[in-house]
Amino acid sequence: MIVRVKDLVKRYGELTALDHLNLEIKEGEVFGLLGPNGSGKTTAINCILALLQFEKGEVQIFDQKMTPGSYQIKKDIGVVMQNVAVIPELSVYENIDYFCGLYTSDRATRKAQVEAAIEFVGLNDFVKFRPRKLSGGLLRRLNIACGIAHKPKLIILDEPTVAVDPQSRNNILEGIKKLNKDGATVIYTSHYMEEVELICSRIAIMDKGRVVAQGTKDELKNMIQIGEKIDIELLDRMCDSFEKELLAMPFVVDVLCDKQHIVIKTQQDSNGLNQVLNYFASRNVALGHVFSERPTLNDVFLEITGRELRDGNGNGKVE
Amino acid sequence: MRVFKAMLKVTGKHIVELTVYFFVFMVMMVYMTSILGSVEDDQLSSFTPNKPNVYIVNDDKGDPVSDGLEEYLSENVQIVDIKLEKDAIADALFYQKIEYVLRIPTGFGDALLNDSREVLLEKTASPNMTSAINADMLVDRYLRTVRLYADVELKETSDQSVREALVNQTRINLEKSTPLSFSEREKKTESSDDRMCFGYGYLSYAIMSILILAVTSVTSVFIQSEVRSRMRCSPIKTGNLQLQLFLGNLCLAVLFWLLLNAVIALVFQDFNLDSLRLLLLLNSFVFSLVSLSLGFLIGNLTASRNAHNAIANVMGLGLSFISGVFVPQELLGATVLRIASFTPTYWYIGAIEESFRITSETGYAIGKLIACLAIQLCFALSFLALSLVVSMQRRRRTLASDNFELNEA
Amino acid sequence: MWRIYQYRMKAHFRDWDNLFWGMLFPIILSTFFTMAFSNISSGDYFKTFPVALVIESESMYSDNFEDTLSSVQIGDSELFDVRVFDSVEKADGAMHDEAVDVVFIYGDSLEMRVKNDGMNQTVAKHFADQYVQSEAMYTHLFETNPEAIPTLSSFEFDASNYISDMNQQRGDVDPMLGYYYALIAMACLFGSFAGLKETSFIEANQSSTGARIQVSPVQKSRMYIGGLLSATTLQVFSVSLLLTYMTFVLKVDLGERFPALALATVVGASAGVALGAFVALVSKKNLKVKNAMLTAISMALSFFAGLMAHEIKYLIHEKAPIFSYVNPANLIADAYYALYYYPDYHRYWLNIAILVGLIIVMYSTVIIMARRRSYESI
Repeated sequence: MIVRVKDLVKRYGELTALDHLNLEIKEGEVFGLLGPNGSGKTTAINCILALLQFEKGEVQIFDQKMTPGSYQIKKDIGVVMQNVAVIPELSVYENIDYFCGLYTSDRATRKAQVEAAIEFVGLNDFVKFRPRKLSGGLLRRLNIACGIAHKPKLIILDEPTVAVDPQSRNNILEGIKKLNKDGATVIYTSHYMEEVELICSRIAIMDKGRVVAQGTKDELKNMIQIGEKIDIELLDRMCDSFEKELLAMPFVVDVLCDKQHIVIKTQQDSNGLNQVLNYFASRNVALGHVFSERPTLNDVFLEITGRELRDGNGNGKVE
Repeated sequence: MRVFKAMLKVTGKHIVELTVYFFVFMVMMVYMTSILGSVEDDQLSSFTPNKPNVYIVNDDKGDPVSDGLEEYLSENVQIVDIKLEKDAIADALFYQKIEYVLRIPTGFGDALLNDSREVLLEKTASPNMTSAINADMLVDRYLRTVRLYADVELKETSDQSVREALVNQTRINLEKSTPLSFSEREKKTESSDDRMCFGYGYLSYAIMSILILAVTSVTSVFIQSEVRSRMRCSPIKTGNLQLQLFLGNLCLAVLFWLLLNAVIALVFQDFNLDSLRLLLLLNSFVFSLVSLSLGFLIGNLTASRNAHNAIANVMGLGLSFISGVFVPQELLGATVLRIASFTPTYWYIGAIEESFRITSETGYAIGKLIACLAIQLCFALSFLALSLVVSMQRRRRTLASDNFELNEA
Repeated sequence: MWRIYQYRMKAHFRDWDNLFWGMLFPIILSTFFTMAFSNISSGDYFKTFPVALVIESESMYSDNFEDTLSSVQIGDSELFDVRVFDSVEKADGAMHDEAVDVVFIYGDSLEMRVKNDGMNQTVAKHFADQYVQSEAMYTHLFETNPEAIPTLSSFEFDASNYISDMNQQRGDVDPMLGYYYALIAMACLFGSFAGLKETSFIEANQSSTGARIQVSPVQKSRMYIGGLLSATTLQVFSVSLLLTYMTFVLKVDLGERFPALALATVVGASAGVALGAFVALVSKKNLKVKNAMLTAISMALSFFAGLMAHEIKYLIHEKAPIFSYVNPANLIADAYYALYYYPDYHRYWLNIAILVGLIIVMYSTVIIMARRRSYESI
């Protein structure tokens, strides 16, 4: 077991940030920690890293107890924090070299590692730049390079893609996959479920300081009632006339209605699409656009907690 | 007035910081004016040489000549009569608490009268100090007179009573002095007036330092690049924006002005709003405006907190020194004063002096005071105009720059 | 550690704004000091100043007075710029317009009028008193003892024959040096900002780089030593620059005991940096407030070391000796002062020893606070 978190409790005054949190992360995983803003992801990360004191519980990394003085453990961890943490006065190369140097003291090895890291995040053209000259996306990449240059066994990324343009984001996600393929175990926190779905082999969904669901993405999706979401455009009729009848059907979980647009959520393994299409065909309704999809992690979260994963919009930051 | 309101809110968030600044400069001001002022009641600072502070050790007690010297000195200088260790005497000399140390060794009286140069007075003094020169002159005068009378009138001086007569004669002679009259006012400047003059002078140091530090600190929130660019994108005109920021800072300035003046009133236990006090209040208000605009300009020029600190110090301390806050203007050289006249502090001090003159001397024209105030206002306006120019000219800095300031972590 | 140190030095020297101002402003201030003291330190108090003379009844005595008055020398020039008026009113008028400082009236005897008191007035009064006394003495002797006139005319007197100068301290005593010492002390204490910057850089709850450093396997102590050492180096460099400038450009005489001066500079700068680290860890406030606190602390401590009025240092030493012995600014200023003024090293070493003690106390606190620390919140 790479990381084991047992019954972690952390309070900020009245607020319970972590409420008996339990996590187990195995070697070779890309472990996703998903949750809305304020669910305790970053606090969990900081506790795992022994940056924060906690009231109760235990953290083990590489099967050893993690404390602020566990330098042997820290050697093999790479951390990319949510905030950009670089030294404004130093150039891109110097920054990476500085932070890498905290882990790798051998000069030649370090040089190779720093160059590999620059190559890895694609900052080759910017090595002499000071951080303030970099755009937001490039800056994030530098931030990542500083955290992973020393080739750690465990990499912890705390929302590394916040405020990053799509191109840089893909670049970063690809990079994480590659790091994992090269043997690193990855912990990845985000509130972007698409990202988590894309790269994580196992996912824990957090809410209010506790893990509400855990498993691979398929396992998670199978936990809930909804098996399929069918999105249909009605060409000549308004949908409210069908709402009640549809809801009354045994395999339908929920119906959302908006003028000529209807979303029908059906149960797992119910062959719902066929039945729904038959229903409309039998009533001579002309259908325009028909679209069916598996439930998202958002649906999982919604069903478990009764709330949306993203608070309204997906771009919000600040945790 | 959105910006103005936000500005006040930001100011509220800086309350701890502002309190720290206020507190430290206030403590210094109170200490300077009250304790320092009362210790040296006859003179405000040691620069004006009055009676020198002399420390006398008389090992020749009983000899009329030596005793006479001690008595003569005690009447004409400030005798320091605490027992002091050797190091303490040396320190006291350095800091001018004692300006002159005189030891009269055993047998000096005899030696002087017999013109034998085997027993000498031992003096320790700082050679450059006027007050030490004064003491030298007194000793010189006494010795000279005694010797002269001895040479002319008395050949035989071993008799005690003869010596006493001789010393008496000397003392009578040395007591003569020139009658002195004052041409315009009989009263000397009261020391409380002097202290108040000094207190209000010192106020300029406090006002300038606090306001530069406070204004730059609050303004820099709005000057840092992201907020600045964001506001630039808004439909508010730059001029209007700057004006609102300035108004926000003005509230701050008025607050500090009121507080500091209240502290001064407390220190002097004087709450009368007589014409002098009103003039001084007006003057310090004008000076607050100057400091405020200067702080505003600096805030617009650079976001570096170290730079703010440094400039506040250079402006606050440096200008105070060359403009006569800590060192009286009359002791400054003409060149220095000419340079100082290009700074607002010089005119602030000028206005204080004019205020005292107007209220204490009859028939004094108000023109000079108005000029002093007007020049200060000109400084304020030009700083303000400059900061406007700077804020318009200043190129937008690269987006990310301030992300990294550790300060914002 | 060497590498951490190197990189921190690099960072310091690239932080152009801070570096520039940090080094420049004590230099500017010392220049202002020199300007302000130029008149005082040179002992150039007595300058020729205008006096009015009104002779009410002419006589041999009044002629004699006028001659004496215009022949008093100070350095190479006359002390008095004598202007003769024919009435007291006119002379008063001139004094009102500040054309003259003093009015001498020679009638039956000598009298003096002034508008207010001041230095020139004091000097004039001294002169007048002395003149009156000599006049009286000669008149008296002349009357009582006419045969003594030959003795009288051959009488020569030099007081220095009867006085030995005991000045055993080094150098000319220039009290204005006290201001420079306080300024040096302030420059040292401003090293606290570098100390604060280093500490914030390392501590996870104060900066994002701190979090990154905290999760690295490098021992915190090494981070601290490297960082604070670089801050100290910077400050020593900065203060040395100030000292060099003061010595060679402003010609301030700081004495010649260079190794001791250098040691005082290193210890002083270390104390400044230590103070910064100390405040950074002890205070729970945010960085802005800490900055304000350090500004306030270094200004206040320098103030009590005599930055604004050098007597204050002495007053504190007299009235609150314990405070003067724990005020690092005062200790730094006093170390320089002792080096200049005292022939032996006793007092210098006392200051240095207490300073080192203070540094140890502050760093011990830093070590205790920073050791294996997890945070309540970040």
